[in-house]
Order: sequence, then C-alpha cells, then structure tokens
Amino acid sequence: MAPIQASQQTSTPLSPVELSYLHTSLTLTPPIRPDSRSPTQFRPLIAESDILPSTNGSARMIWGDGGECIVGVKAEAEKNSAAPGGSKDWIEINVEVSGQRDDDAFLGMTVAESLLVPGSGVLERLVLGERFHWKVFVDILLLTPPLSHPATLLTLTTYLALRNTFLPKSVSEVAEDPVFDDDWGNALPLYPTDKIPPPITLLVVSVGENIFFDPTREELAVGDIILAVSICGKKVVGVRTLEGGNGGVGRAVIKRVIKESCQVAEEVFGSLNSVEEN
Amino acid sequence: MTSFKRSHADSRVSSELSSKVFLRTSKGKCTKIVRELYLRRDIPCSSKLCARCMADIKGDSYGRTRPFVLSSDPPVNDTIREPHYMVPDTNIFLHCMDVLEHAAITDVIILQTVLDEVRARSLPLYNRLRALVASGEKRFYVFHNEFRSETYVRREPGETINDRNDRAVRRGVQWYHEHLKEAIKDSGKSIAVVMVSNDKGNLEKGKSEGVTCCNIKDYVSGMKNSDELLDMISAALGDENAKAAKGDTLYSEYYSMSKMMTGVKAGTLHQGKFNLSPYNFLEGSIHVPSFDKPLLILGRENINRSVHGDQVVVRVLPKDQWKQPSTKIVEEETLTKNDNPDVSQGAAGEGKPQPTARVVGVIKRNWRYYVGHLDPSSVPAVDGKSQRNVFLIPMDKKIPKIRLRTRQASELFGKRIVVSIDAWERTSRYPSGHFVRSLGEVETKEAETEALLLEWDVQYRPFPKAVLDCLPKEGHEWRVPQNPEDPRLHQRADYRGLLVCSIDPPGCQDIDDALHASRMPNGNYEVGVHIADVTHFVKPNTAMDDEASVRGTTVYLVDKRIDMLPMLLGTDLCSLKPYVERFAFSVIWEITEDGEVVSTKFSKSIIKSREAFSYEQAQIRIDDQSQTDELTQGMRTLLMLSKKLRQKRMDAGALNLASPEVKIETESETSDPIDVKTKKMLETNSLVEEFMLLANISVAGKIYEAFPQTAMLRRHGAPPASKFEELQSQLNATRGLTLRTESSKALADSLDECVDPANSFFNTLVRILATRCMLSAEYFCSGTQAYPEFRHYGLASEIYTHFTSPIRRYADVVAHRQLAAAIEYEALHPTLHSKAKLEGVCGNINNRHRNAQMAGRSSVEYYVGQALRGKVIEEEGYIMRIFSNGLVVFVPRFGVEGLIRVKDLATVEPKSEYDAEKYTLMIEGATGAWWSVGLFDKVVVKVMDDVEAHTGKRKIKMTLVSVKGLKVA
Repeated sequence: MAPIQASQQTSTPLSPVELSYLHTSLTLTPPIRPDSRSPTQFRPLIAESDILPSTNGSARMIWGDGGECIVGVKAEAEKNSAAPGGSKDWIEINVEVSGQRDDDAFLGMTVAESLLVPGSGVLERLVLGERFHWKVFVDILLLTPPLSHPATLLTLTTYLALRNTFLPKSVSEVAEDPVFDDDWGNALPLYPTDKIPPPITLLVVSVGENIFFDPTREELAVGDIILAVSICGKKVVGVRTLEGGNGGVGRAVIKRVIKESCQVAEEVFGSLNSVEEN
Repeated sequence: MTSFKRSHADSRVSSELSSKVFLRTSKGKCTKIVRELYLRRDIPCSSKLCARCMADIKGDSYGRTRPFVLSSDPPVNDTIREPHYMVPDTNIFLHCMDVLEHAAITDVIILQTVLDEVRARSLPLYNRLRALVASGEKRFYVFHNEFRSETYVRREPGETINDRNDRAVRRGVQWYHEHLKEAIKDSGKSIAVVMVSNDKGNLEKGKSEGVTCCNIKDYVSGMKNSDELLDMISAALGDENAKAAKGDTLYSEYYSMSKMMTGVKAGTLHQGKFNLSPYNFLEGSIHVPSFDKPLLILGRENINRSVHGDQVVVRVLPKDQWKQPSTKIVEEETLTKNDNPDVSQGAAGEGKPQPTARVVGVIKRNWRYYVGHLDPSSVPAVDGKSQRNVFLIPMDKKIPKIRLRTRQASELFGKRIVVSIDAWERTSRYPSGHFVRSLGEVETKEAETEALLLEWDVQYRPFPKAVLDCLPKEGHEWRVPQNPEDPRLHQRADYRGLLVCSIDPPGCQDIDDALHASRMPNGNYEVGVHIADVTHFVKPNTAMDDEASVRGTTVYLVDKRIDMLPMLLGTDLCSLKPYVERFAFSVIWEITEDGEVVSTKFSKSIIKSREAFSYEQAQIRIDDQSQTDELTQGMRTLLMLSKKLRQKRMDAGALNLASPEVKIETESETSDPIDVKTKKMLETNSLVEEFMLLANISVAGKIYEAFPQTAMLRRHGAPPASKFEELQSQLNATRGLTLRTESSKALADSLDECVDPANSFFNTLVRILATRCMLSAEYFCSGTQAYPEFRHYGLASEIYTHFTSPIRRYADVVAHRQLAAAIEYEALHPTLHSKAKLEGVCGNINNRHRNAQMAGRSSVEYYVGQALRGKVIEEEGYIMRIFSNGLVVFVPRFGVEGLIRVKDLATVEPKSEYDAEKYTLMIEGATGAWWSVGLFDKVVVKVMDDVEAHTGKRKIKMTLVSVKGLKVA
C-alpha cells in the first residue's frame, strides 16, 4: 500500500518502505509526525520586521529547514492612467528565487491573487486625491528556497512586511499634485490594525483522515492531497490543490481543513503581529 | 541568526551612531531618506577660553587645525550685562541679516541646525552668512551641533521638524553654557551664551529650560547704535508676534504651492517672470511659453503684490476682459494723489485686445536691495526719536513705494538710502521693508555712484583677502623669468625682438592688446596681435577665478572703474605696458597684400612693447611723413591692411551701426564734470578694431574645432523683420526711402542710401534707430546652438568669440583657457568641459555685461546732468520720435534725448493735429498761424537741467526754440 513516489515534487531520500511507514504513522489517531509536532504546530521560525530602512516596509524570515526570505515593499506616487488594468496594476509583486530563472510566475501569482481579494479595502487606501494613487512594489527575495513548498514562507514574510508598510501622509488637496508630510513618523500604515489584514497562504497536507499544517518535505511526499489555503482575516478566501498529491480526499476532510485553517491562521496572525511589536 | 537590523536600542547605548529618517517630496515623487549619523565628541566649541577643546583638537587628514574663533573677551551690552556669545535662531538670520552684518555684532555661534535651515529657506542669505563666517573679522563660528553626541537631538514622535530644530538650538545653547562654565570655573571669569530669537514660544521654553535667552529687539536696544540697528530689523519679523490683521484685505490670497504647481503642469496656470511697464505702474506683463504675445496684467488687484522681476504664476482672465496695452503714461505719484489706483487702467481702444491675466501666486521673489529716497510728503516736520512709518521712493520706477518704520526719519530725509523689502501683506497697499544703510546726501557724487552700482548689481566692494592671496607673491616686483630653463617659459615663444606697440584711448592703464606688422621675404605681411596673458595668473578654480567669473566684466563709469581683476594684475602684471617684458597670448597671421589670410599661428609668448600710443598720437605719427622708423612703418602697414580687411567685411554685409557716445570732460583735480563732447573716431580706432575682430574670429574657429560642444562663443541673432516695420514706414513716409532688411548686407547697403542732403546727421540718426531694432549679442556655449545660429549678424561673421580683452571680460578668460588647451599648451580644466557649468557662466556674464552697460549709461546720464547744472544752452537736435501729444528730441552733442510735450509749448496747451501716416504734427502758434513739425526734422532746443521729482535724479529738460530754422517760441 505504499504510495508511489511523486516525481518532481519532493525527491526525498526515503526508501519506499520508509515512506510507507511514514504514511501509516500519519494516518494513526492521534497521528505521529516524525518530529513529534502536533498536527497544527509549526516548525520553529525566526522572523523580524523593518530590516531595510529605506523601504516603506520590510521583513525577513528564516524557516527551520533553512529557507530564508526577505521582502521589501516600496510605494511610489503614480498618475492614474486610463489603461484597462485599472487598480489591479496598483500592486506589483515580483518574486526572485536565488539560483532560479525569474520567469516562474507561479509563486508570485499565489501571493498576488490573494492580495487582491475584493473587499479587503487595500486599494481604497492607495488612492491619492483625484488623479494619483500609490503604486506598491512588493519585492520578494527567496534567498534559500525551503526544502518543502515555499508558499507559506513567502506569504508569511510578505504579511509581516505589509503589516509594517507605511505610506507617507498626503497634505495636499484632492485636486492637486500630491505633497507629503516630511515626518516619517506621521506616515500611515497600509494595513491599519482595525482593517482587514493582508492575506496569508498556509500549506495543508491530508493523510487519510488527518490533516497537517506546515508539512515537511517528507510529509508532503506521502500526502494524499496538498492544499494551499489562503486566509484573509477570519475567512478562507481560496483553496487550491498543489501537484504531488497521491490520492483523493473526502468532503468532510476539506471542511475540516477550512475550519482548522481559520483557527491556525488566527494563531499565526497573533504571533506574527507580536513580531512587529518588538 | 544575526540580525540585519541596527536597532535603535544599540544607538541609544553607544550614542555614537544614530540615524534619521524623513520624507522628501519633489515633482510629485516622494522619497524616504535615511541618513546615518556618526556622532562625535571632539567637535570643538572654538572659544579661546576653553582649554579642554584646545587640548582635544585633532587635525584633518593633513594634520591641519583651525584656529579658535570666539574671543576670550566677548562684548557686553546694556541688555546682557555680562560677556557673552550670541546664538541666533533661524528666524534671526532670515529677517535680520542686515543687523548681523553690522560691525557692532561680534562673537556669534551659528548652530548647524540653524545654518541648514537658512540654506533650505534662502540661498542668497545662506551665501551671505557663509561670507560672514569666512571673512573672520566678526568672529562668527559654525558649531556642528548635529554631529556632536551631547547636542544631537532626536525627533520625538509627533514633533514637527520646526519644534525639533528649536529644541536642538536650545540644547546647543544649554550645552555651550554648561561646557563653558566647566571650562572657566577656575579662572573666576564669567561668560554667558545667549539665545537670540523672536519666537515667543521658543523664548518661553528656553527660559523654563534655564537657557539665557533674549528677544532680538531687546538685545539690540541695549547696544550703542540701537536706532540704526533697530531700523535694520525686518518689518516681517515685527509682524510675526502681532499678526492681528487690521483693515481690509486689499489683495486676494495666493494659491498654495502645490495648487500652483499642479495648475502649471496641467496648463491651466502659467508661470513666468513679472515685468512692470516703465511708463505705467499699473501695467505689467509676463511672457509665458503658451502665448506668443506677453500676457498683460492690469491694475493693482491683478498685479497682486508682484514686484518687477518676481517669478509668478498667473491665471488667464476670460476673453471679455482682454484689453489693449495702455497708451498713456501713468505715474504712481499722480495717481496716488487722486487715490484711485484700484481701477484697472487698460485703455479700451480699438484694435485687437491682448490676453490679460491675474497673478495668483509667487514662486520666487526676486527682491534685492533697492536704492531710493524718502518721500518728502511722508516725513513729518517735527523731529522726534519715536518710530514712525515713512515711504521710500525707489530710483527704479518699476519698483513700488516701500513702507519703512524708522526712528531716524529726519536724519534720513534727503539722503540716498538702501532698503530691502521684507514682506507684502494682503492688507497693505505697499510692501514693507527695512532700512539697510545710508549712502549719503542725494546728488553727491559718492552717493549717486554707489546708488547706481547697487541698482545695477555691480559688485564693487574691495576684493576679499582670499582673492588677493591668489596674486603672485612678488607683487609689483614680478618679472618675466630670464632663465630659459624656467618651467614658466615652457612652450612659450620669444617675441621680444618684434616691434610691438599698443594703441588705446588716452590714459588707458589696463592695456589688453598690442600689435605688430612686418614684411616677410615672400612679399606677404606678418601681422601679430598680442593679448595680455591673464590666464597665466588666474588659474581655474581659485578664489580669484571665482570672483572674476561672478563679476564678469570691468565696469567703466565716467570717473571710476570697477575692476574685474585686482589692480596688480589689471594695470601692471598683465597690462602690456611699454618698455617692459610681459607674458602674452599671440595670434600671428601671414597676410597677403590684398588682405587674404594665408596662415594663422597661436602661441603663448613673451613680448616687449616698444611704445603705448593713444589713438591720437598714433594717428599723428602715421600721418607724419618724416617718421620713417620701423615701428611707424609697421603701423602704416597695419593701417593699410586694416582698411582692406574692413572693406571685405563691409562687402560681406557687416553693419556700421552708430550709438551716441559722448565724452565728459572733467576737472583734473576734483573730477567734477565741466563739459560734454561727442567722441571722435580716428582711423587708428578702426585699425585696432579690425585686427581685434580678426583675432576673435580666428580664435573662435580654433576653439570650436577643438571643443565643438563647449567652446565659449558669441553670437548676434538676426533681428526679426517685424522689428523694423515701424522704422521702414517712417522712412518711407517722411523721406520716401526704403530699408531692406532681408539680410545684413541688404540692410547695410540700404542704410548707406539713407541720406538727406539737407541734413548731414540724418544718416547717423537712422543708424541709431536701426541699432535699437537689433537684438543684443550674447555669449553662449557652442553645444547649445546649431552651427547656423552661431552667426554674428552685425559683424557678418559665421563664428565669433571674445578673446582680446581678458583683463576686463571674463568670457575672454575662458576663451584663453580653451585656446591654450586647443594648442596643447596645457590641459583643459574639467570645469571648462562641462556644458552645464559653461552655460551658467554665459548666463551670468551676459547679465553682467548688460548691467555694466546700463550702469555706464546711467553714470554718463548723471554726469551730463551735473555738467549742465545751472546752465541753459541752445543746441541742435533732431526729432527722433513723434506722438500725438509730444516729441522726443535727440541732441547729438550730449548724446541725450528729451521729451517735449505739446502742453509745455505754451502756457495754454495749443491746439494740435497729428497725422499718423505722415508722422507730422500741426500746432497752432501763439499768433494763430499753424506750423508743423515732422519726424527727423532738425530743431533747435534749449537744454537745461531739472531734478525729477519722482526719482530725485537730475535730468535734462528741453524746450523747443525753432523748427527747421523757423522760430516757434
């Protein structure tokens, strides 16, 4: 019953027997993860915010398995254009993975799509008078890709950076070219605490009836299905399956994934927000 | 994990490293700027009392240290009764710079915070402050408090930058106080550090923090010459605390800067330089790129507090408010009496109305010092020491009256005084200003001379020490090195054997040029022009070079010369004086008998001039056939060749233009003017002129070839045909002559044809008028124009530059350096490679050149007035312009023109009819017989002097005696 090794996803150094053992132990009730974490527990990570003084917001995160990511956010005042893209173009995301070609749009898409969730109110905050808006550039640099899937690392770092992003305060009238307050201390947060925060994407893997957050490479290798769940505030705004799953999944499991994701996300938000306070 | 971040916590502990973050908005872009600050503990307080700083002092990378500035015995006054150093805040520098420049104020500490703020607010004030510090006489010291760890102040959250800076100033003062207390505690002396401010809030905070502080007015009141100093405090400062807006607002409010910028960018508003009409003080104009014609700004409300020269933003008024420019002369004096100034004065005449506009804001004030005298009607008869409001009438008619508050009204009355404008409130009809200094009695020579130098922005102060330090150490003892191995002789041709002489106006001391000519074995002539080698002494990027480039030109007044270079160079070391060896820059041509140039050679050289002639002496020597020495022969050759060169130039279409030039005879002792004469032109004048032109053209070609992008050249644009329209129709109507303007050649030829057998002066008159239709020549950097635009219209030369007078023109200095580099004598200094830098230099010298000319003209005008003082002379004149209600008469002997109004012809204004087509005016004489006067007619006028009430200038007044020999009065 050992699942067949997924080809490109994760070439684990484990033998089919070892994989089969892992799969079995993960299907137990309660499941046993190789590093003895509980299903919703994250591996230890290091995060700090506001590391690049000349950006509008920045963060850096190091994953337990060596993945390291830096995100810098820059904002520029830009004239509104009549181009069809409209406000969709106001946030530009660029992901660079060191040692890889930069035309892999997928990773960026994951983040961007979730950032532009309608109703989150971000775009409204980018409006500057009648003729101008902020254009936000999010530059994500993956210094060392993690052994597992990078989506969580990317979105968590981006979340942290965006939560720390401030936009200079405009002091001009709506009809005028924008002029700004010179005090950086007076700059306004892009995501004020009372507004919907930026979204994050969590990776969830299901094995049998069990679901696991922050899966390791080995756990991904034996998962029945791998889901990327985007959460914005208290709501799940997107679920997407990633390649590499080995089987199907029941409807009840998906329901549980969504429910638990919300709970886990809340904890994640809580702990990430405490990073800012330091 | 090692953190990337330099946390604030670290810097709080060590306090040697800090950073500040702020935002800068420019052109709609917003940049976050992060500055790291490395704080130190070894920045000295620079007080001679402080032994600790003296011991601590470290030199720069060369080990040099600066001497301490602040005196050990600083001043005491009645307000601060102990010896003290003064620390003014930013507002004091912005508003009371004139006070601080007064000799009575010494031992001042300028905090870096304040200096930076001054720089951000006003560059001219900043430069003045820098100059004060550099002069060293008044012991001003810049203390870099932002870099000393004890005095560095971090911006608190929510604190405005102004509050933070005020706090930094107070912190600086406090530190100084404690530091000095520590330093002198054993000596038993006492010293205070006083913060001087005008900001009530800042003063109160200072008091509560234990800082000694004082209002500027209180401070100055305690000084000896307090009346004078108090007057120098800007009016704007006085208003700051008592901003109770009394009275009606007369003017509409200015738009905010961002609104103006948005509007200008969007094309709904227009930006330009505001010009006021010299004839009508309620009519301004502004030239903006989007309109061909200048926009008119009519009436006080629309002018909205702009002063001539300001950069303003205007809004174009709706089409139904467009008007024609006024044809009347409207003077402020007459209008204020009737007190009806708010009505816009545009004449609703026929013809096409011009667009009008209203000023909605000022981008940049172009206020300078203004010279004038007090309005007699505003000075009270009773003498008193109390402060009162008076009005100053500026000499420049384009500047409005300025309101001053002064305690010295009765003393200042009848004097030429310098003031500066501080502000123009919405509630005030006139701008308010403050007294700067008095030049002396109106109409005294010294006061008037200084006044006109100030009016034309001529830098006339003595050269600063830094400039004089650049002069050769030997002074007047400097000699051309005799040792052939001397490095200064490297690549320098030895022309000492040539028979060189100079020809200049009599009494000329700064001899720029010398000439020689000799016959060559092949029958051609060798002709040399030798120009003073100024650049041997004035090296780029020295204080002397900077000063010369700022001055731009030597200014010649009737009795005075304001030099561009220090006397030692101008009249001695560079001047190509006779009988001594001098360094020169020589241009040597081989010229055929017919005046064709065969070859040209440039080189640095040594020459020895055999003789310095005046034009007259040279002419006599050439004409005297008994003189057959080689030098005279050489001059005859030069004369012969110059005539051929001139002919060629004329054939090519060069213009022979005339401008009235007069010479003022002065008494040798007092240099008081006695008489006025027109200058004579001799053949020798044009001899020198021809060869100078040839040298300039040759050099222009050479430097352009070597530096196509950055050569310093001079161009003279072809005048647009429309400028000549009026003159053409005048000539046609009155004399049946035609003026062809399609090329300079055609113009030159048709000007030659403009002769009136009955009127020998007619031709010159037409040339004077034609000259006024021309554009003015300008310096430019070759990379900024296309080659066809290089043309010098007047000289009919494809390319031209100025090379021959480096002692008195900065453009020539640049040309010398470029030529030296072009012949590989020396490497070109990097600043002369930079197009932007050269463009700046060109802009400045064009401006200085024009100002120098205007200053020279005003000086002649003043002296002509003085020479005629009390005299009544009948003199011949010519009608130069004709109006429906007056004539402009030009008197060649004095080179002046005067207006004669019809209403002044008789006690009751006679009836008159004006024929605009024929340019004639019919006037009814006293006997009832009509007589007529036409344009260009010869008349006799009585010339007398008169003091102009408005400006206090002595001017010429004329009355008509006869027209074409017929008596009219």
